[in-house]
Amino acid sequence: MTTGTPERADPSEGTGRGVEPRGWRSRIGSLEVLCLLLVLAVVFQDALVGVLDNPAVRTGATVFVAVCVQAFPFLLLGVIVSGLIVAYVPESALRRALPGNSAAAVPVAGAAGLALPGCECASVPVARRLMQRGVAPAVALTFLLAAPAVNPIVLVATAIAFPGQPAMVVARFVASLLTAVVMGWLWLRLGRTEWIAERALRRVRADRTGPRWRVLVETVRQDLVEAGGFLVLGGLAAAVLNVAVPAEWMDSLGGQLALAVVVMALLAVVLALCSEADAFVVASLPGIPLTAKLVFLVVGPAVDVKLIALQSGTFGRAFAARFAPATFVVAVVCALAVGVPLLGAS
Amino acid sequence: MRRETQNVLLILLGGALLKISWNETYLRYVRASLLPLVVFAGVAMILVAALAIARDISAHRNRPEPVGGHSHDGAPGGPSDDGHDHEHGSGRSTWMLLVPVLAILLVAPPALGADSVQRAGSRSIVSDEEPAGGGLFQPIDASDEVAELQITDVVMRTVWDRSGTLDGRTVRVTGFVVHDADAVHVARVRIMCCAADAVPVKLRIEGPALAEFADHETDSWVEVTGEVVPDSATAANGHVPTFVSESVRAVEPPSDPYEY
Repeated sequence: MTTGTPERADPSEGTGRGVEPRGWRSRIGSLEVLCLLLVLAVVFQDALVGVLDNPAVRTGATVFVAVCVQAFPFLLLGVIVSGLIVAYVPESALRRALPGNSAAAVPVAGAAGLALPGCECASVPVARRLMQRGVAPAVALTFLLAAPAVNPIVLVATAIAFPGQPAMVVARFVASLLTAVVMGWLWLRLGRTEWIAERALRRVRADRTGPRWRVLVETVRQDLVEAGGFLVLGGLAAAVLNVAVPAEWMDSLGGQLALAVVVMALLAVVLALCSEADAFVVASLPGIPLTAKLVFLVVGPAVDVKLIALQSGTFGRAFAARFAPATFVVAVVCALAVGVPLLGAS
Repeated sequence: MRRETQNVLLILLGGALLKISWNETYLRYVRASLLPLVVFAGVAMILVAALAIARDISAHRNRPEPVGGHSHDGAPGGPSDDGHDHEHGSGRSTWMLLVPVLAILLVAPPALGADSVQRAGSRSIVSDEEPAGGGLFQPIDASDEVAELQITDVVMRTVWDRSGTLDGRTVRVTGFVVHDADAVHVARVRIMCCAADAVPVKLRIEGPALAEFADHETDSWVEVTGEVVPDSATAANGHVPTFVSESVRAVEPPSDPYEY
């Protein structure tokens, strides 16, 4: 602190972030802000805890922490897989594994979703790193949609939640896979690369050499920090909606298939349940037609508030604003196309 | 946001996850079997951040710098331009990582209780389809006169059991009290993964001990002994069995508040 050159601004600070070079005395960095926030939080801890006096806030806070505690391990698994892809899988290996023709590679990516048993939060960073490694966006996006919906854990959970109804498992598998593949093909026809934020597509930098484990750690750290913030945002939204959506929404829907489908599709988006648990929740709703329940199970892992937050953080808002609504519509249509013949319309 | 701040946030979040794993409050938020994953996430976050800090320090030391030796707050410390471009544009969202840290370390929300039960409306664990096994349940252990059961078990047997294992049986359940406008319930919350997918299970309390429930506030934990009225759980009442209570006593909340 007693140096003679306090005015010396760090060069990277100026060029990298477009910040005017300033003396360190006048600069309040993020670390100082963090310390201040922590001190304030500790000082006003009683006031923070006092907010919990309201039962709705208390329930919401519990749900929020629960979503975070449950999702972060799965996000971590996802960023570790994506780090392994960056550090250890050469682009040539990915090229060999996938058909050269993107239209043919889309179904292969959908089937590959069977191999990543994780929640939807895990597949977003993986899809992004796949794109960076030269996998066509349509193929990576198919994988992103398929992985959380068709993996064995999810299918087994669905079978347990719907005892004696194997048709539900079959319908969920087919409709989810169909959604992923249709979205992949749609992206091939209509998708534009410029919708995806440039930072998500930028090739891994050439200076990323050095020991591979170091590349792995640095990739995991970056993906975790970036995606983690958005995951928290999604968790907050899910917690608020979980408390705010009245239970009456779900009552008295029996028999009215069209209304039930719309409500269940919207519920899947706002509740943002883990794909391994959603089958149990939907099974607990009384008097809802099976096809409407299928819509919930197909939409949930493909579009929900948590995923929209994660996707706009990873691929940019322009992407999420188009991809999420399109996926929503495709998922509902696929679920109806599979559900009505297989499960009936009543 | 600077690398150091990100690393500090990761260490705080990882530490928060380890803390709730250690003192078992994680059971308020996720099911017990997720413990290894939560611990893994906490350890991995701290490890990743610690490795990055160690690397930054060694890179800082090796960097030729005329004023060397000091590390004032403004220095980025790390391999100076590594990762800058990637963090550009997503800096603000990273601050959100502080929210779960504060929520876990300072607020520590309680387990779901009566509010969650009342909010759930007519949602029930009883699905429209009969469970596998044709409604024949395992007999309850007959060695004890009073059978200790989960509320889930009581509800499922009342609705589906055709072999009558509960008929005339004295059972004891543990749950929290919910005073509704027209009835008193003893309830538990059932979760699959985490508290976001909670579904309540409850018994409607009747019988001699009902008056005593005035002394037990909503959300207080009790142990109730009594008998289920056969066939009292119907679709019309949301599959809530009627429970003729003989005695009730206050108990400590169990370490795991949920049923699975």
